[in-house]
Amino acid sequence: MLKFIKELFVPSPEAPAPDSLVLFTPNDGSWNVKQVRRLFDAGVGRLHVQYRRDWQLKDYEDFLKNIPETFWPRIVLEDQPELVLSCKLGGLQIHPTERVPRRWPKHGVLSAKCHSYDELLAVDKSCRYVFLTPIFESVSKKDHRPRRTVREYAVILERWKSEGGCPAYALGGITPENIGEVREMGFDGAAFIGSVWKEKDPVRAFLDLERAWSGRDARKLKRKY
Amino acid sequence: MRVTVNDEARDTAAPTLAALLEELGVAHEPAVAAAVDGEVIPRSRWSAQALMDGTSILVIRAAQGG
Repeated sequence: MLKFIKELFVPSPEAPAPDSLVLFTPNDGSWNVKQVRRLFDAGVGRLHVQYRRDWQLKDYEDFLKNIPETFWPRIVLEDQPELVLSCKLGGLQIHPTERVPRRWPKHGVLSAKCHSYDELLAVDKSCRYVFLTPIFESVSKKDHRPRRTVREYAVILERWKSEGGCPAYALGGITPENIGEVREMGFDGAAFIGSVWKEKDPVRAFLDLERAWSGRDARKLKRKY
Repeated sequence: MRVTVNDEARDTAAPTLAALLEELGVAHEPAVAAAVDGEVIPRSRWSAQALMDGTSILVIRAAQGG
């Protein structure tokens, strides 16, 4: 009975945002698990936990302990593949040159991040999705600028898709102001780091990005943010 | 014996998963996971996991920031 009453006052999580909108955690200690919980509650559909040199297996386990299991399938790691498999997490980010085994478990979505066109060419097209970065000047990293023009990226994507490439997501400097351009270039999704975590309210920042991407098809939210 | 590693046939004399991963040069890489016939084998059990003819092995490496 007490549990039932308690549950009445705990807001249920929002429906997930499209998983083609990916949130990366920063690769340092500038974020915390409480923020991640709030972001999941608000509907972040896919979270890539960036590799941290200072994290060991126990740090990942502690992180997961603080996240309700219902959100684990939305979590992708760049490290600890055994943990991805044993905890049935959402996926693993592999190196762009790594091949995708045919018998790999379906829950463990494999993805890769490419910093150049040459890296993209090396990616196994049976990855579930691939990131191309940096598309715009980075919000969080100084001097992290794109090596190609918007037009060049559009041509690269066209070629990638015509050769049967997997969905490609833009990463690097994506803001609500330029996310429309990302769509026009032909990207299937977008990923964010600084444009969420550098903001005072990361939840609000993520929702603004999602709205800018989805337009009229935006999710209906239960609560106001 | 002949096993399958990531969908490719391979002849090996490695009696255990640990020996095979050593042969592949990935045994000491920290971000590697391996599964035998679909079952994930934790690193602590690699040495005890025997291989037989026809065994299917999956080996995958995480990006670790790459």
